[in-house]
Amino acid sequence: MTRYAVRHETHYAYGATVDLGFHMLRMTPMEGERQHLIAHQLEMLPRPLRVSAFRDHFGNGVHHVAVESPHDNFSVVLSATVDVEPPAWSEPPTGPAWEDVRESMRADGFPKPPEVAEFVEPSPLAPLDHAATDYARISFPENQPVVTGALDLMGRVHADFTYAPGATDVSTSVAEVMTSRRGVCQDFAHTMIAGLRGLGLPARYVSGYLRTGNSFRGGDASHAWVSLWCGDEVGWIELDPTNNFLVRDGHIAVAYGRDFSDVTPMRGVILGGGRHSHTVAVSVAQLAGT
Amino acid sequence: MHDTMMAAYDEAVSGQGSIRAHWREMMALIWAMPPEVLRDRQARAAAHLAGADNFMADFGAGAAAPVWSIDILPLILPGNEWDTIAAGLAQRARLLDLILSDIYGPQFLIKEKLLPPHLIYANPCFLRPLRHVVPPSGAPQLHFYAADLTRMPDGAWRILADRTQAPAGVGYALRHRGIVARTFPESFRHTSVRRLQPILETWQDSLQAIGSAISSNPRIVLLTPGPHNSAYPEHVMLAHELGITLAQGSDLTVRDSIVYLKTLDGLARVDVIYRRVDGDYCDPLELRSDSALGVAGMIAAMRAGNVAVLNAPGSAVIELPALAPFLPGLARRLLDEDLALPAVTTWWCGQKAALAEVLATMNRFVLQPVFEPNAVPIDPVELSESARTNLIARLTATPEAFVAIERVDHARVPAVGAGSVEPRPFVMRTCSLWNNGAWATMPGAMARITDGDEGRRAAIRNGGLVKDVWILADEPTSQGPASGDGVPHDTRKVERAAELLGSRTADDLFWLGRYIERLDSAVRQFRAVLQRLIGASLGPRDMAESQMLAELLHHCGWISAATASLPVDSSVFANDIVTAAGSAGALADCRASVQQLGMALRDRLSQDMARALMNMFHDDETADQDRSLDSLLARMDRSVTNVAAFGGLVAENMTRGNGWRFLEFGRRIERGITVCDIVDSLLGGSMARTELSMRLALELCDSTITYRRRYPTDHYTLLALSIILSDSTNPRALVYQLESIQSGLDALIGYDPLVPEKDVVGRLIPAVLEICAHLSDEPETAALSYAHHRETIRAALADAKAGLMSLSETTSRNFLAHIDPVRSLFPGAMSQRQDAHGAMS
Repeated sequence: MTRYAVRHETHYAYGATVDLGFHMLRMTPMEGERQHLIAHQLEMLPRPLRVSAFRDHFGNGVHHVAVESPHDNFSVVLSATVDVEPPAWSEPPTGPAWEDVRESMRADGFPKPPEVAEFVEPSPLAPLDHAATDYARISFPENQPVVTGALDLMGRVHADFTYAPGATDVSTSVAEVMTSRRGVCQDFAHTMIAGLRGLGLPARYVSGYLRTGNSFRGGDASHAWVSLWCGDEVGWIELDPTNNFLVRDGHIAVAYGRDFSDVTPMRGVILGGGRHSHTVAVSVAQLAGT
Repeated sequence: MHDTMMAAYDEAVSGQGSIRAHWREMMALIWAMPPEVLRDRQARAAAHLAGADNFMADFGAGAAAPVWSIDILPLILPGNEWDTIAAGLAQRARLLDLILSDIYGPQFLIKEKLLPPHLIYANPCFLRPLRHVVPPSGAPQLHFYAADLTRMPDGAWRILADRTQAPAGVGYALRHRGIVARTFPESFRHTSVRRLQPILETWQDSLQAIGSAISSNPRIVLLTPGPHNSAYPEHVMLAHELGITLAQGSDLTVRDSIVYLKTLDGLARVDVIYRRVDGDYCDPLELRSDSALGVAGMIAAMRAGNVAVLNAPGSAVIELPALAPFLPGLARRLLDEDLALPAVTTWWCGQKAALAEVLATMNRFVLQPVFEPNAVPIDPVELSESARTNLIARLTATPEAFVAIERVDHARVPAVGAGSVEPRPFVMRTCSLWNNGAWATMPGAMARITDGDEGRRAAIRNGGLVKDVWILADEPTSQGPASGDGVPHDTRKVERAAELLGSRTADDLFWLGRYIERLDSAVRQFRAVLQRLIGASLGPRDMAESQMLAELLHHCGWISAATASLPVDSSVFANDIVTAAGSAGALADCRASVQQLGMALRDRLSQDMARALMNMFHDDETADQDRSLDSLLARMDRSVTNVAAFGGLVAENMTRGNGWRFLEFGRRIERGITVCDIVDSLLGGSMARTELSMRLALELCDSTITYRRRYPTDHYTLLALSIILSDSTNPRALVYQLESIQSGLDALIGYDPLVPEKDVVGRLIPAVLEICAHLSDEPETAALSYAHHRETIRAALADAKAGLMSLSETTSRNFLAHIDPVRSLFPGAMSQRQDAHGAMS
């Protein structure tokens, strides 16, 4: 088990006074089978009139924040202590042939299990994309075990795509990334998800944090990776195409969704405000003695 | 296949060729009527529908407005047959509500394989942010349910479409009933028809009951997308009939997870929202972030249980035709009942057996993309061989993307054609309401004629030929045409405590006042110049006056400097004037503003006021065809009269509330500014001469007669100014405007932002009076003092104008907008932002 201290700071500076600001925050690490939230705190300035917490459709924790007094700045600081356990396996099972997973999702209109079926459907930022599907298909020859294929696809994405912060933004489409072959973790995740879904495999988008370290990419900001359904026996496995490794105990999950649009860490509407600028800083420290 | 099909059902004629019993009275009446009488009735009904009664159609709702025509001959259904239909609709509504509750709740129907996940998870109408949002205690997910029905050849009714988003219907049915009652009153004499009105009472009771569970004196609003929506007339009518507030998204705000209506008296809590905005547009925070039609935070307020939104956003997820094959099973599972009123045979092709059936008997069906229920269906019969092959390939590759719906030969109903009555196919739109756990169906409907299959699922917004639907009463009800049905009621049973004035409404009224007055002054200026140009030849005085008027028109922004500098007797000048007053000129912009504001304020204006406004625009339609000065002058004359008619109705018919006060503010401020402009321009112009200036000023300020009566002389001297500026008994005088504004401000006590403005007005009044104190009663002296006073007068007028402008700005910006600073910057001020994963610096 590894214990982490996560700190995620977001600061907004508005060009003009904001009279009313509503924000939806999805930034607190989740409680899961292999992940335990030991302590967490959200500090906001100015202090919101109301913070209400609820679970969304995907089961993610959401904070709804309303700042109703005039303000020129808004900052949110999430700090959390999280324990993460490694998976039971040291090397993942290879899983069934990928066609079996695909067939379980067809099943004459009633996929098995039904709750997974949502993630085989196209979504706004990971739509059906023929280029992404054709690209993914190379990793899934006939009877290829699904995990083997997914690892191969992840390796190819990592090798073929250039990590280029600033080359893309939140609305960059999979089609554009397939052409430019550049992007950040969000783009790699969307591209891989679109390809997997194109083959009929259910894949989710995971938003979270990554252990900070020199050899990792995406650790200085909130991170994103891919979760793939590999049949009843294996269940979900998670893959980080930005860094080309299976998720074991170096990733801290915050939210699961179809794509980025379901799990945006901070989404808001402000009245007033003019031009605004914002800065984000994320640090994930491994605590001593774990 | 086709030749063995039964003939379409005929509503009026039985299989044996005899008239059905419940149609005999009606057909006898129609046959007894000479064709020209029938045609005349039909024309009158069409005129009612398109014109006076349906103000919006002419008020320029624009291309979005559906094109309707109405058939005076109703569709008649026996009461017992209707009761069976209503029971089926009620069962269907209960079922759909339970399905919705499950989809947005536990989703056990998906887990139990009663609902295919694809039809929910890939459905663009499934709004994930609404998951786990439970309506306040007692309220349903589905509150208003409309359905389109058809009758099969064997006489059975079947559902063509479930409408659960925010369907229209009741307003249309009431309107049609009213038109038939007016144009064909004798038809009601022999037949007793169930009244429509009670559905409105049920509706009020239901909304009140839902609101009462939230607060003791609930406020209910109808949330409309606004005047540009094709159903806006219905929204206006229903808000009026139900006694609830018509609100746009910008009228609402959310504070502390409570929805409020922004009013002049501050924020007023809203407990129930009857939603006529599509679900995904309701909240830019959690749903479509580009929507300006909703209110940010609405979903959070729902989540907190502080507001009931009816139907709940996301209700459109069950409008899907592809759900039809699963409804019988769902009815058994959820209600333990058999589905009484099923849909026409429908197959979702995402299942193998269904696909096989569809491919084997393709011509029985039309096909649609599964999530586009309002798309024009693909008819395999009409396809070329290659297109058909292509369709089969698409069906085989992505069967889940298609739904197949049985082709139905719609039942026929007698309809008035060109002077004769002939059977035509129709579909019927019904409306059902939830009331305290039970469903009530409006005893009446709207039938639409569907010549050919294209109308099969046509949305109401497409318009078309419609008919009233009569449900026969078992016993005679009260006598007389329709017992007052469809006649607009100005007083309904819910009488609210003092109605609050919405901030946007106050702002709109203020600007309506300003634009009306602005239009009036422009028209008077154009008229004055036209009167001079129209003579056979221009005399020297006509020339000089025309020149001064041209400068004034330019001063006020109606014509360009280039036009104003043209020789006034040139044909180029005349041509420019016609253009400026035409559809591409500045005058048309002003009219458009009046029109737009009138539309937005439709629910605040009486029928007569609306009609008076509407008259202003009728003329415009022919404006560009006839460019003669003569007809333009006639148009300007009519405009002056129309504005006066509106002003008269405002004066005589509007209660002296704050709404009237803001309209008056606008008018008085604009008229005051106009007087300043006229006098300033005429005194300062290149041709300025006392005689001509004063003569024109009096003419433009409609004060010539007063002057003549008071000063029995042929000369026009500066004494005219005492009438135009400082005569507080003259409704056209500057000081009259200022005093009206002052008393208006006094009446608005308690509205802090206007307090400093009182001082401004209080200072301006003596200053204006001072101008004229210098004028002697002696005409000769007055002429002499002209040179001395000219600049003093102009400076004082500049002051007055600046004061009025600042009052306007304060009123519109600080005061009316103080609740929500965004309004003045709308829509750009509402910005959304999202963080990016990894792409952040």
